Amino acid sequence: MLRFAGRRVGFVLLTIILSSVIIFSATQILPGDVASMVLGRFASDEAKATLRHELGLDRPLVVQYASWLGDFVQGDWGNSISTKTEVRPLVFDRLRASAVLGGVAFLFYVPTGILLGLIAALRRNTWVDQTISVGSLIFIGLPEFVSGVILISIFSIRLGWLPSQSTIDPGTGFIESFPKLILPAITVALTTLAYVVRMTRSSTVDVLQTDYVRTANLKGLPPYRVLFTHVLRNSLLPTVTVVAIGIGWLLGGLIITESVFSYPGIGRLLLFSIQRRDLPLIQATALLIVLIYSFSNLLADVLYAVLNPRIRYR
Amino acid sequence: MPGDVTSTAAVPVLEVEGLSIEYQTERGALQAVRDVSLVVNCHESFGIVGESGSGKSTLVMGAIRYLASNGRVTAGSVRLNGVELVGMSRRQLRSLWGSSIGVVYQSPLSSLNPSIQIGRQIAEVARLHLGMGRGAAMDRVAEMLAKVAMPDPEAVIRRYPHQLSGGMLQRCVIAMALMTDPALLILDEPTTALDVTTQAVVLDLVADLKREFDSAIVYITHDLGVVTKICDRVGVMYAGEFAEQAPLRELFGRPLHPYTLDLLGCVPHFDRSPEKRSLVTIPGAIPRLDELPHGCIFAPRCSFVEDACRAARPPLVDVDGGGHLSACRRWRIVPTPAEYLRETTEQLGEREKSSCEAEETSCEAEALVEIDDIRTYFKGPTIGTLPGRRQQAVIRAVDGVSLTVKEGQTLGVVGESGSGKTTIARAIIGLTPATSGEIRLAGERLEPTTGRRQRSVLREIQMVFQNPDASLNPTRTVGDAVSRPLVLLRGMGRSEASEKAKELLQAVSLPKGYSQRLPNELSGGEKQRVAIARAFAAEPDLILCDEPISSLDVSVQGSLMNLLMKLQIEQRTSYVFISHDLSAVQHLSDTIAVVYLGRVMELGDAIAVLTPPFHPYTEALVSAVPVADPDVKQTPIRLSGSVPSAMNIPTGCRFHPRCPRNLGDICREQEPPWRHGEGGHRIYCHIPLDELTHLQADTLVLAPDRTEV
Amino acid sequence: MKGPTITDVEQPGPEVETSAGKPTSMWLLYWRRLLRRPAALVGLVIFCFFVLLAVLGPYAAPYDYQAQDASLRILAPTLQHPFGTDQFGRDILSRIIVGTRNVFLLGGTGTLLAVLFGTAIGLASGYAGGYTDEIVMRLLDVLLSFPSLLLALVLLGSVGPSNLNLVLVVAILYVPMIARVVRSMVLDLKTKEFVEAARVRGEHRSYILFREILPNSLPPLLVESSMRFSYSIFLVASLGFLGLGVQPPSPDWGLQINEARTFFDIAPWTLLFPAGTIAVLVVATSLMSDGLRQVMLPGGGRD
Repeated sequence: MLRFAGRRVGFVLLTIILSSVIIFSATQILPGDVASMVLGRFASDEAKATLRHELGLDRPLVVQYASWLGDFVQGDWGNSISTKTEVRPLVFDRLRASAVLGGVAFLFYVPTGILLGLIAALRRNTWVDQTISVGSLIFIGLPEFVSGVILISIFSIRLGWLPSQSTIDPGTGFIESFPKLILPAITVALTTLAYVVRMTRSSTVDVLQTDYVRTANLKGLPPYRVLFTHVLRNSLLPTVTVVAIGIGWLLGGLIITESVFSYPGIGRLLLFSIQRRDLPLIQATALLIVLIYSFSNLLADVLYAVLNPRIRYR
Repeated sequence: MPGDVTSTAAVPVLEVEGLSIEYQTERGALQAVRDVSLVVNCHESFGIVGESGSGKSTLVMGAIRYLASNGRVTAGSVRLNGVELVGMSRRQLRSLWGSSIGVVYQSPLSSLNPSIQIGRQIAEVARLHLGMGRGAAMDRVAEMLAKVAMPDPEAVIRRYPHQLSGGMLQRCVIAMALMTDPALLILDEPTTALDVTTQAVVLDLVADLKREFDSAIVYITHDLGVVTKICDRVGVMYAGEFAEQAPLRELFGRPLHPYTLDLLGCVPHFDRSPEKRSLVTIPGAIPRLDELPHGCIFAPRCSFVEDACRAARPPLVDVDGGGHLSACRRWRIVPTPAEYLRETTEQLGEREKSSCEAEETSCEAEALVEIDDIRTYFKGPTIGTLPGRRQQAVIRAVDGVSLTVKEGQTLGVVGESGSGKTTIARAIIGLTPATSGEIRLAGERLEPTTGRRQRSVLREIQMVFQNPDASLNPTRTVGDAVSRPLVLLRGMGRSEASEKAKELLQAVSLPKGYSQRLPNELSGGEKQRVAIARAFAAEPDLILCDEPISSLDVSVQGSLMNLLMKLQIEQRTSYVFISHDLSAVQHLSDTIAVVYLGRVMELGDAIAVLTPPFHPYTEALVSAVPVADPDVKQTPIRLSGSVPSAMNIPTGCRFHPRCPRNLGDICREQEPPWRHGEGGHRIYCHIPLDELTHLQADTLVLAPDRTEV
Repeated sequence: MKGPTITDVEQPGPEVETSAGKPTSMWLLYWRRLLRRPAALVGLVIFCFFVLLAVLGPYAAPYDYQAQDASLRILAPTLQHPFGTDQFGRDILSRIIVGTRNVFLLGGTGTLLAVLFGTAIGLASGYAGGYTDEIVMRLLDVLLSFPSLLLALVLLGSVGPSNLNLVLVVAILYVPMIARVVRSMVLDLKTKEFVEAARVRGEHRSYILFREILPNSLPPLLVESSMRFSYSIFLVASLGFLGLGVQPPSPDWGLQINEARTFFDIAPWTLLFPAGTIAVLVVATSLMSDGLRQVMLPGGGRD
């Protein structure tokens, strides 16, 4: 168990380091010269060279990488080129906003997904199951900007119940901003919801067909006790994994959803930084997303191991 | 609670009358069980024997009203202690399941919930049906576990299923089934997944419990041997109907249905006769449920069929008025098993007489393969968490084995799971190279891996694998599979090879047309025939048969053994036949090696190995094998515990921790010597042969040879 | 008797030896099973329809997709313009039809590249085993531990959006997934008896890989590829929406939606029709690939 956890943590660290290399080298080949972008095209070559030296851009790439990573680990994430402000507070600000949105989505899709998945499994091969299964398939495939747009057209334009844009001023309370969170939260939840539904359904169907459920039935246990004591304990195990990994997926969904609803989160910040070619901002945002994603994967593995006695007592 | 056997003996507990069960499938409604009746009395154990597809499990599960959602009871009645089950509501059924009806399943590991402690799982029954509280239920669990002879019940209660061995788990499941002292105990192939020696222990346990509890037992199995250990009455099922029901001894001694007769004849028996005989074969296959013949369902395969048999379905009737039921119209002319065997089987050859003083030519047979002290070690998992204190475990799968295969003869290798028998074969053929030691083929040293062997050497050794479903490439036709070695190893052209492939298919009794088929269109037995044809295509000197028949039905096993023997005589090919089934090994082999934990424990000719002196492990095997003959007497020699891990082989004699004849310190501390008997018979034991002979005189008393009646 | 409850057993029916019957190839069998799945069939039909549109492209479009006409700006759907017109007076239906080709070309080529390289890597790594396999797989795992959209954005952001780059990014994203599927098949098949039988008869390594292992890995590979393809549509459209996909004036569904957002209040059709088209195609492909999975990998297959 300890060894298992140690190996996983080691792998996550390796992943993060390699990811940082990828992110760093990808941003290095960004076309365009930072110095000319900052100082304008007509600045003197001398001034540009000075700035490059100040920014450390004239050092070998490996050195640049090492100093960048070192600074990053120590919390010095540099200054944004486009907003001229410090990167770290900006990124964390946006991350907080995204976390609120993601949290609302999470609270929506996890219980709904498990419930729908269970219903489909228990009523398998009936029209209820068919509807849920095909429905979840539809939502897995639907890009967030399509489902977001459709939601807006129904709830904002047709019915006028909810705002179509979710620009939130800093300092707005959660309660006040809640109506603006609903549509983006649903949009971002739909895809992951569908995964949770499908995973719950398939693992529950598998468990329902096992010999030990037959044993439980032939003990004479009533159906609800078979379900709660024998089925769920095993069938929700893979679901837990999906839920944990889903935190990572949520991040991918946020990039588009935030753009659709103009929500000030980390996804939009990333997009903004890419459009502005804002190196420090891209690096920080991307690496942060990778960090969260990797840790949600790690969490999934560890949860699975902790909840599974076959791994726990080996 | 022990009941008074005599007074309750005739009280019927389970009465099934005219039960029919139907499944809705893609091919329409299939009548899986048709108009079946049976009665099981209190204190009686009724064995239901049948091959796969016979409907034995469907019948019993249908009788207790637990069917797949596409199955239903279409007619008939089932009464348990006089209460009708057909038409009962789910709620009512649930009050019977687990309280009046206990069930034990085939695979104990999969029938227990992997994430709940065993104690809780068993206690559930007591809490539900006996209304006990948590504490009382746990006490009862401990008590029950003690009753099923579970060592250290208190500890087992807190274990999870994956932490126990198969035999222990099956005891837990049995304890669970008996918690409420049920009126009916159903055992559905409870020992099929276990090793022979473990199976024997579980069977003993069931036989003991049968005396102690008031249950009627229904025992479902495919194994004719197992029923002789447990059952009072036996019913033989075929394609959804009973062919015959009779008291145990009558069924084996005087079967009155041709199918029973065939079944008895197609399993090999222990024998000490020097001749190799064929087994009875049943032509054709079990009919598909949507293509059942009119009249008697066994008619198309029956050797006693006459036109009238095909006219109408014969009912199952009590032919002698004494409880012997047969569904054969012509039961009067059904011969005794001895007569039948004499008429239908033939002598295929003589076993090698190992005693060279007999001056037999066969004993001078040249050695084809010599295995010289091979060892195969694998890297095991790393043990220990702390760096620096970690240790790489070594799995010693084969640990010093020397054997000789003689030209044109069969070397049988028998052992339970974990004995390393398959690894020996894989070392010979070069799939898993031996770590040390040498293997010689006709005097030439073999390279350890296939990649380094010459094509001419590769041609000499072929293999028939265990799992018929995986031994043929699913995307290639049967013809391709058989002709490929012809092209590759014998340099034939394509058309010549495909012609020759058809001949080979005929040689293994498959129609020529099969060469166009894909493996998924073949039954398990047919696939294995193709695999045999493929092995023979290379015209090898040696064929390694790694459990080639274990996963097949007994009748198919019989016909495959006949085929192997026939081909060996025609082609003078040597075999290494590997199996956990001592009777099959004994039937086919000239020489037998008994292996345990990577080492040979006993080596000798087929007759010598079945005659005292035995190695204590062989002795345990011989006494544990369920022989399908109630007249064979076996002294119960039982092994305790389970096979130790090959990572942690016991010191001294590796068998000592489980050995019933353990001498103490010497066995624990010193490697035993080889003790040589007559004609190359060797036993790896500290006990002298004379003493073993003396101790083991009654271990296995065979019935008089039935072919000589 | 009540209806089905959770306590119902899901045992297979009676086991029957299936020795009789006419010779059938696996593919015929898959096809027959597919015919019994209406959802998958519907998906297949819609998918084929879009393939047809992609092949015909401009020939299937009623109007020139670039033709601007100020007099026709933002027209609601009529018989002449069933999907209406956009802010430049271009026919939306025509732009959607012509855009199909981009989706199939970009997503399809990217997926195809991923399948080729992924299969090669998976075969080689799985068959080699040992440390090689370990290292290759760890590296691929690292690629997999990026959210795919993030990786696509970072890569496209750095090299700049172009059709070629888009194809390459799709390929890079999907190579690890395809390689994993193939590798796990190889690992599974490598120990199968029929492969060992081939080794025992001294078959060459390439024969074992390409004649014994690869044909049997095709069903899962096909299922995975079709799933990847449906995700690639998703991805290409999303990137288009973010302005990093196909560059204007070439028609792109994602971009169309992005541009139409401004006129959403007055001209919802400019947005709803492209959105609906993406939805229909993506759902159809996933229905199809899900059907393939159920048909080809019954029982097995991760979900």
